[in-house]
Amino acid sequence: MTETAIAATRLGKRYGQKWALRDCTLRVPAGRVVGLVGPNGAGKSTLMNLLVGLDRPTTGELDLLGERVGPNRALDRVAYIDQEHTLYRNFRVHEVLKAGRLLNPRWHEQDAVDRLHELNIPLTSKVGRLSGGQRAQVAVAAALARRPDLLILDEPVASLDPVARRDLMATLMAAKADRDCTIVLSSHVVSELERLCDHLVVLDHGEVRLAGDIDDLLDGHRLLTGPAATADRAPVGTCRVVHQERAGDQVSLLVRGAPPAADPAWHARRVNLEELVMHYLASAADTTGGGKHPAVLG
Amino acid sequence: MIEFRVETGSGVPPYLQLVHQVEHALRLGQLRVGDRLPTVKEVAKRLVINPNTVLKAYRELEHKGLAKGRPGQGTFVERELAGLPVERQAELRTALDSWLASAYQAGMDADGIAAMVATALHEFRPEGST
Amino acid sequence: MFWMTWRQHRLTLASLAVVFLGLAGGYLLSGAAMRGSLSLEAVQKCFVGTPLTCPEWAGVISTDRNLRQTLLPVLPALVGVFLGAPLVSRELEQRTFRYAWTQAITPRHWLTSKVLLLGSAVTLLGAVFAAVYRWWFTPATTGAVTLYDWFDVFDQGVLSFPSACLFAFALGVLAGTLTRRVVLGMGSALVGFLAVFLPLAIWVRPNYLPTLRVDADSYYSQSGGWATDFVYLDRDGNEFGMWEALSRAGVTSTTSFGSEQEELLARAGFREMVDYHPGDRFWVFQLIEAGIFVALAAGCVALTFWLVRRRSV
Repeated sequence: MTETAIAATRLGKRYGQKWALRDCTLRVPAGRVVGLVGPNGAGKSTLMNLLVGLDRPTTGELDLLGERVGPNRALDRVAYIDQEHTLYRNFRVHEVLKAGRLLNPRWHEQDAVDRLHELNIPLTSKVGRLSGGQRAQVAVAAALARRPDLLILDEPVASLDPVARRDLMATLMAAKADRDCTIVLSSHVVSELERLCDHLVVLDHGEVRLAGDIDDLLDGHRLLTGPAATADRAPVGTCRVVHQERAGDQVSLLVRGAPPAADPAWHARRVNLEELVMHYLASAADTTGGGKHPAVLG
Repeated sequence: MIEFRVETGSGVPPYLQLVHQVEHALRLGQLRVGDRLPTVKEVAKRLVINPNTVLKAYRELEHKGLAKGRPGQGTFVERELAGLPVERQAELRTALDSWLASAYQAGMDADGIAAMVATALHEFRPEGST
Repeated sequence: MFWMTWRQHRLTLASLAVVFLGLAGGYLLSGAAMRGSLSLEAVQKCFVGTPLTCPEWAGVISTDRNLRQTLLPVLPALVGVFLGAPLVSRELEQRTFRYAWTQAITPRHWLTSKVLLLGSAVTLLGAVFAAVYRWWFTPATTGAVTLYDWFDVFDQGVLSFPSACLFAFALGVLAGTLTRRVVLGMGSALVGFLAVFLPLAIWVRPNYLPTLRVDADSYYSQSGGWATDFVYLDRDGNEFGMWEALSRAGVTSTTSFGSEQEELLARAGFREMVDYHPGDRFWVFQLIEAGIFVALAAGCVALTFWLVRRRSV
């Protein structure tokens, strides 16, 4: 397996006058489960479309699994499932599998048959008659039967009820345990990604705000809380202040790095993933003049 | 067999939660030397968590010498954690109670205390360990 | 891709086959029945005479004439509307391209296979119909006395008709790709086909080769060919249309044109001339028209590939 699953260099996509994605430079090591987060319209789908070749970049370069992505380049090791888990609705499940077999040189039908059997989804059902959760499972089974090294899912559970969400993610996580691969999933709900992902990419207004392994990111940030009156004298040391937020006469500063120990008026604590993302998005909103951000929390 | 749980939003990384739960089970004698830990896939599927997290937890347990992976068979408990004698535990508990009292006196609430303890535990490096 | 193409388009293909092969079957049956009940000579006369010469087949022959003037020339448009236009637009509209174009085969491969397979199928359907039609119409052009030339059924020619089907299909694919909507694509495919076909048949086709000019008597004494224009020459060799010639001959008030008017013109010194293409040019014209359709089809396909490659869809 290649070391780097995704390497993007100054990748950009413009629609008319508007940049949907700008200057996106990323390096995702192979084997990670990547959470791609950001508010609606942040550029998540644009980035995914570029990754799977449904769109051409306006600028920049993209390598997947060590191969340059270009026009008419077949990426048989990359699988993609869109938000609606699109399949041909008038196909029966066994026809979906047949299509997969005919369209993909790498195809392991038994994987899909076993998985669908376990989920009690009959191969003779029409796709259009399945529940949303079952259709998603068929789409995932068909994608996994390709044994992809990179699996890309756009908001995979957004349209599903809680039980179907859990089942679908359980299928994915089990598949990842079976066979090492890189998974990218986008979401605008951060909380659901905390247990699923070990790598995070935060997008906003078409730009990457934060990217890295989640454990490193959480270790590398602290939230300092203290009196608002002395905010400019907060004990940040050499740390960079990402964002500050006032609540009454208290102020909270998210800092990158480990702040020097303790001015007794100030309290430093670790942040969880959700707080981290919120602060980065809020700081982006401050600098772009976007005002208060739409809730990132579902 | 141990039943893992993972709570998100607690600030404790999921892999550490798994490590703590194994240690806890070892202390309470729920796990013994030679017991097999659930496979990565079982944990990932049951808890719906990233298998990398489970792998990382098991690596950490191996690093601590508490468990060992055997290729093709699974991960097995290598060493048990001796629980402290009851008197010694009571002593420590008394000390903790008096610390808690002073924390409350100082105006901290339960959440604040819990957060401080979690942080302190996470960052505390006893002498001689790495 | 063969199975995929069949699976996705089998209903449309089957419906088109019903229309094309149904029509072909009708001609095959009526042609065989005519030949079974009449001698070849009698069949040939059926096409020449009034309904009285073969009353039992007059209905068939007039039905053909009606079909030829209405449905048959635009039959290829059906292919473009129902098979060509939805090919890409339905994938875009129902968003299934997000599945189809992210499998291991490239979108180019996907499109190539579909266009080749379906293009061949419609060309074949067109060829079958045109061949049957040619067989059915043969007695009309081969009698001792005939009213008809192959030019009269040029649109159903065995080269031009299948190529028109192929062009309509390719135009439909392009229309669907451009409009990205099934219904809009279907409408554009129909309008587009007529916008190419009608001007081609009416204005361009007569000019594939320069016409020959003979005087009317010798044109009518030989048989066949395609008369594209009738002109009148005065004694000095100046050229006039019929109505202008009539007014110059002093006829001011007539709305009809018959032997009486012809005589007046002759007396005034006008000679009737015919511009025409001789019957032996039929295959050259078929080749030229087929070439035009195939070239247009190739252009549509190339443009579609460019659009899909650019992923502006």
